[in-house]
Amino acid sequence: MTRDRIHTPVTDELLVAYLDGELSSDERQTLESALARDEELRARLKTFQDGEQPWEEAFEGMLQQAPLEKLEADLAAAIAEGPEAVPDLASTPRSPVPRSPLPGSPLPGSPAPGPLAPGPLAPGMAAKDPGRGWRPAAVAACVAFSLLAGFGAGYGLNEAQDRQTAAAVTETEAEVWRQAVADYQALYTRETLSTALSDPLVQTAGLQRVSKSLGLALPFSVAEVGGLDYKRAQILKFGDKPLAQLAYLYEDEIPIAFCIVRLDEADRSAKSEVRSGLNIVHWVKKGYSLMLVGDLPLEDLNRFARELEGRVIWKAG
Amino acid sequence: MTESSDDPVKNGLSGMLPRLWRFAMVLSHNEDTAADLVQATCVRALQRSRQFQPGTHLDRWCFSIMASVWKNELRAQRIRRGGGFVDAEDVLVTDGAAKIESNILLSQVLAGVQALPEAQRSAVLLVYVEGLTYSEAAVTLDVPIGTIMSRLAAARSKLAALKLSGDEGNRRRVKAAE
Repeated sequence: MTRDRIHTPVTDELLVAYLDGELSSDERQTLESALARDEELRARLKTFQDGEQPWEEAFEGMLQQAPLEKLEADLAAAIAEGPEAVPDLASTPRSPVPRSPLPGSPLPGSPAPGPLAPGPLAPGMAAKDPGRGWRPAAVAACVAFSLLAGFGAGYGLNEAQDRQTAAAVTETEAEVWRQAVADYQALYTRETLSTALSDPLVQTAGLQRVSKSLGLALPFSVAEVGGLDYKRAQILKFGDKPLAQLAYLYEDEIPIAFCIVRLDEADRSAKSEVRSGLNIVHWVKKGYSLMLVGDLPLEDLNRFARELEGRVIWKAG
Repeated sequence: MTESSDDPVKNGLSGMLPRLWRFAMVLSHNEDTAADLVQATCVRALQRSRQFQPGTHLDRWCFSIMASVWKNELRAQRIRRGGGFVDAEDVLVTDGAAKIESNILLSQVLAGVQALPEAQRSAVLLVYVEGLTYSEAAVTLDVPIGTIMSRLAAARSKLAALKLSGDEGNRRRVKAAE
């Protein structure tokens, strides 16, 4: 049986397996005697030898690049919550993957060379997720960036800087955070959210992680608000405070963010405003400042805001 | 925090996080997605820790969980988008080349691998970087061993071509600098 693999023509796979030391000794001997006879075969082997690379070294640096602190915190959260907190999907790693019910979808697991092939590197793509690390000091830069990117931001750069210097006196921290959130939200498109994982396990894990950082509970029902397609939850920073961002897509088109930060403002009911061209509904409950922001009519935003608030489980305090 | 030392999964996950993240980046090409993928893999590994057989390789076991989570995810994305899965190819090619390595050859290899289709780069990572045998990689990715062989052969052909053009590029650069 193994000898059959050596029969002519010798495939590329066999040559590579030979170089990788994966052939049986019989196969190796057969191939080596073929190599001794066949110059063309030796040339092909040489091509694959040239494809030999310092693989391990090349990938070594990525290990240091891993966001270890975050990954460890996530793991600690998962261990602390206990595995039972997340529903296990019925499938096991080895279970056969059911076929797609839709016509025209490629089979799962089959390589899809066309769409997966890399496109040319677009410099602007580096801004694929601008939502990391919000800080008050970064607000001006964000506004500048949003103008640069051609969005109709509600505030010019100078105005934003003035607003910042005056913040200590005339502005509350709360306005600064809402402006920061709005500026970033203005940069979101449906594509920004297209890499979010739709697996409920992943989504639940994300919500769990965010809940832990905030000190309240975001059950999976916050991902099931009718009319909003839940995408992902992430923890960002506002100053030194964890800021939760739950991202949704409305009608597969309009990005909506539900954001929560603990600023210890006095509780108050919902108000609305416009920042960076986006509608915002914001309110304070149990010391948590909340906002829902997106390019939606206020009545829709208000409706979603009420629904979302009802689903958050507020802990004492 | 007290850890129960009798659970090899709970105890072993922490030390594997960088390697899990690296595999997640190779699969997803996106830092947020990679972190989510690591988290989901950890959660599922903890759920199934009783299925893990002590004495076997925890890393391979976790890699196969991750590959399975990702495969299901890919399927969902393809269905959602009617087959047009768009890969975010930017992250590692830019970050990888600029931040990670000063060594030109190493970053070329990294960029070259990252430019391969996902199926090929995951096979390359598992076999050439993580040191799995063909059959271990086949089990991990849940594909026949012949599929692993053809992915590696295709990857090597492409990287050999890249190396050739890269060498020429270097020579040109050196010449220009003289």
